[in-house]
Amino acid sequence: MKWPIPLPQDSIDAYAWYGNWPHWPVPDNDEQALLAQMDRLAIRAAAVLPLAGVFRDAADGNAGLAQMVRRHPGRLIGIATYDPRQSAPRPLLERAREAGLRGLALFPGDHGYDLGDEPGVEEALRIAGEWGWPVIIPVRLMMSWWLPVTPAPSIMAAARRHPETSVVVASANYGEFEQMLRGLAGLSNVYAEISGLQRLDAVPLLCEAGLGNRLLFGSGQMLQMPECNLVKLAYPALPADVKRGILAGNAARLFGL
Amino acid sequence: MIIDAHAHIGTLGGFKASGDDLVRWADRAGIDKLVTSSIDAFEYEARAGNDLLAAAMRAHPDRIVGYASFTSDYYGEAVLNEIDRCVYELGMRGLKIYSRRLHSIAEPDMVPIVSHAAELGLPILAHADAREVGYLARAVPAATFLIAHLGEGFEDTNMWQTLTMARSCPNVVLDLTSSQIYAGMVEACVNAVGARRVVFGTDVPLLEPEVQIQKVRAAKIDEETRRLILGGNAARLFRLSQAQETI
Repeated sequence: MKWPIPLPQDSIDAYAWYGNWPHWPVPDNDEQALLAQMDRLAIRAAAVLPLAGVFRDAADGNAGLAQMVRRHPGRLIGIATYDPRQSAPRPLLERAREAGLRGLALFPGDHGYDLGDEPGVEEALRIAGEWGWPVIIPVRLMMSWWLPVTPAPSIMAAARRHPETSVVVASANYGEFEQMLRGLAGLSNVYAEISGLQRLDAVPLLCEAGLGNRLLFGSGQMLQMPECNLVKLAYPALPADVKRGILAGNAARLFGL
Repeated sequence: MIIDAHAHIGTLGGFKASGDDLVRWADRAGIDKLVTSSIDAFEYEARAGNDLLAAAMRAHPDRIVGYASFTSDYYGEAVLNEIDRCVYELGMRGLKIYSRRLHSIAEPDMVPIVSHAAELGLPILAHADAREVGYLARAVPAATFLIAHLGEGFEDTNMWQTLTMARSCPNVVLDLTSSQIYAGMVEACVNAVGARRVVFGTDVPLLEPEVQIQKVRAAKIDEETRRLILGGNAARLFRLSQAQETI
């Protein structure tokens, strides 16, 4: 391979972050830097999750995110956070929908609950299914071994209980690879985004298993280096339609773009 | 020249790599040389594992460079003898040590082994956390340590602890090989210890080599720093080129 290899163009990012990262300084993590980075890497649109909703208050995080999304229509897809410790789901999610958000994210590992044992979360999953909202559930916020983990089997179990709801397993890595592969193969409502997936040949292996139509390019920006995730789709000898699907088509279908 | 300072041969669960596999992956990613340790040696049995690596080195003498490895729960004379065999008979150029939560390498028993590696001029790739590497680096200042995965190979450590340690231990080199692709991480490493103390690696057969290279390619660093991280520093440390500077 001759470097630098060209990175794929015209993608839709299914996993981006906005807000303050409390654990260490993240360079250039404001709104303008996010848009500039998307422009530089030809990322057409990005599904954005609010860090304030993870670490502070879901309603405030959703409101702040909605304001940003309204400033950049067509570029940013707002994903609402729900934390069952703070409120009932329906009023919070209705406010988020009225404000223009278009998906739901759950953080059992960070918010300290069991995904299979939380009535508010079950209701949130049902509501998302009614509205056609995808539900993003990260195994971990980003690929770091010491961050809280939501076990992949619990995410698959939630998807099994809610076949009407599209569930996106985010930021899984090699430790969850087999579980993810089985979940994708057995549950047609499960998608996986690739920002945490560092396993050798992970994307080609999932595509060989016929699961390319439910893989999503995710960058993890502004917490992670988006180039490292774009390159996963730059070199493998995948069929062009499969590659385009992972880069943008699958996300466009899922988010109704 | 691109040199991978952290590759593996052998079997770990569902991951397997032969020498031919390593060269195939390296060719795909544009990597010229792989400094490799035997998973079998540090996970199961040292002598057979090191022999497996030596066979791959013989098959690919221009591509595969060896770390001597041993099961980390064994210390003492037998390990010193195995290191000598790996260096003098098998031609290995580094030492790999691996810490376990129930048997840390930050113990006095490890000091003679590390000292012996220093006497032989072997850089030591340490899969351990910042506290453990800091202990050994201060105990044996003549030894050169590459802290694997920036010390993030465990659930209760992070690279920021490693940067703090490395600032005060000039004999510690930062190995970027990891699942982590934090924004700004390469720049933070360079800022902490300078361009000459950071190396790149892939962790094949576990990780995607292209992602690890891209981590360095995309970092906001100057081209000379990029060249050093991608191979210049490893060439110097493992004496793979004419440049034999000390860190």
